[in-house]
Amino acid sequence: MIDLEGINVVRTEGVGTDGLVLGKHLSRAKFERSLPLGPAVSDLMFLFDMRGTPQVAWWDDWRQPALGDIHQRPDLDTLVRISHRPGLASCIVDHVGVDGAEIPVCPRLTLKRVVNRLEANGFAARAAIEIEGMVYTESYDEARAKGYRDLTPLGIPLALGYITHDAYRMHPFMDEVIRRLEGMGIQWDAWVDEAAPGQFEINFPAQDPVAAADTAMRARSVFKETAIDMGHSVTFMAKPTDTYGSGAHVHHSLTRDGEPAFFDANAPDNRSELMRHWIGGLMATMPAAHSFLTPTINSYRRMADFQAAPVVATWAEENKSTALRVISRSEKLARVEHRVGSADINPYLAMAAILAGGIVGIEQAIEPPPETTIIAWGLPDTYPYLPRTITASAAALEADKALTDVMGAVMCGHWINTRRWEWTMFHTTGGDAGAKTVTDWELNSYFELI
Amino acid sequence: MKGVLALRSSVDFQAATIRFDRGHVRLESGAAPDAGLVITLNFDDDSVKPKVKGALRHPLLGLAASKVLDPPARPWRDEAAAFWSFAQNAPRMPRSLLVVCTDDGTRAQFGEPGEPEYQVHGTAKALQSAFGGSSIFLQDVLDGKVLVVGSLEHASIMTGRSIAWAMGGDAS
Repeated sequence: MIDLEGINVVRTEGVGTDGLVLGKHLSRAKFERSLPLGPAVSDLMFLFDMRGTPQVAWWDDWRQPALGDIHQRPDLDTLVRISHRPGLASCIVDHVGVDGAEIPVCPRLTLKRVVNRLEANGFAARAAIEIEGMVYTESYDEARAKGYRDLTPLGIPLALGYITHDAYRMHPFMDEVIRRLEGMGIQWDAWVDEAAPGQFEINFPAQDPVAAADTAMRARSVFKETAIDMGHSVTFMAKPTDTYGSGAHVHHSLTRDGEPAFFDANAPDNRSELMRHWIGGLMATMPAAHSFLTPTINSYRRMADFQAAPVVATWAEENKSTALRVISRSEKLARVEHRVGSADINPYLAMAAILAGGIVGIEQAIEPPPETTIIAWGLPDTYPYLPRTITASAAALEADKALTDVMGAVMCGHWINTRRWEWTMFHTTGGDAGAKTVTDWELNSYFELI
Repeated sequence: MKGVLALRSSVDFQAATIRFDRGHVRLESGAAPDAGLVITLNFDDDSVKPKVKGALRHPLLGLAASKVLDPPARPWRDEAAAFWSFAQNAPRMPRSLLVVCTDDGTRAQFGEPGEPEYQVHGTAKALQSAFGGSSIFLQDVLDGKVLVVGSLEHASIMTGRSIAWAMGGDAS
């Protein structure tokens, strides 16, 4: 645990089902007194949807008989000083019951369970999540007053990326983001202005999967808090406008006894048998995992041909139109880039779903289907298109017993119920099912929270 | 009867099309442009008079549609019995459901008497709506239209079953 000298407030950071960061601000004394179980919070935190409507339509055994407390158990290895807010430290937590028992729907604990299963198979993973989002010059208050429409992108309003003088327009904002990330001890690799107006992407070094999800969660918070402080607005909605959407690609690889396990110089195309089975598992479970990778009503607007997001369950070496971009040209670079995820993912559950799919592949020795060497957009319906709606994805997850076994049946059941709830809310509280573009319902539900 | 009827919500984007074709009925999402009769109504408030477009040109369709869309209301006891028949075997449902009509104090008991019991109290109109699939159970509870005695677990399961019931009884 870090030295808390000079710290008078500790903020807890727990992630709920929808990926929102939920916590308390505690006096340092209260935080220290609460250890090891951590501060109590209402179990309602796993009850509400993103509009504040209680999701009271199913029940799980971990719930309190009426309304009760659970605890945010601090992971003291994640306790960091928030350099841009002197006196404040922040600590990531896991959710446990009053008796210390793990809450099975806690996203971070779900990822830990999947990582443990991978380790039981003799492997460790390294992963990084690319973060994409949109930044606008309007403040959140101004954006809200405009209904989150017709906002002014920070930078040139053209669908072009990598333009350095466009990045220059973003630099006061991005420099502050970087300063804050570094102040929290978060390492970063690169950032660019991405293709959509106002769109940015930031990349991080590979870490263990839980740390990679922690980084993604904290980075998104830093972006949003920096936007608040600088009078801008940031959203990680998958498709807030009609331009390119925002994704969250997950790069990952495995090691065995500390050595890269995806590369085999003696194998065809340098892919080890383990890598083949891993890809086979990701492909076999992709329709089911899709629910975690495209979690909201808005996620599916990004899933369109020629919009940079994969739409068909495909894989290939160095093909950015496929769902899995495989890189196996060297031992150093050997990895899989899972390109399906949209920016609105819960980073813990998305990471868990991907690793769980790979685990299914290695435990069942699944060989992948043929590689897709063509452009995987604009294909006829005979190709294996991924589920096109939030309910179709939920049904695919419900049907995949192999993936749900690794992810956890209670977690998956809860998730499926929440996705069906989201569909019900969209259709019964003002969403326009016939709309071809983003609706007011989506913008009002997601823009500020995601 | 033959004709196309569109239903639109006046308060949100919900819309549906019903195609009648000599004994066959087809239901579609959204309001079809070829609908001869368009009815716009407030699903949340049946005291607001619906707006009807095309009734003069399609009087028979209009008459038939009004009968189909406004079936005679069943007594609350029958609605509750039908709901219980649909929901009683769902996991975690209460063993017993006691429904009390606050208009006259009459009661109806469903399932096996004893704990765990769940009680729902309301006017005949509120009970008809809560059990008839025209409202969401939890919303009725939050709005105070019905009063309940029981656990959060049972309120949750009752709500889940009520949503499934409202969607035709086959939703998960």
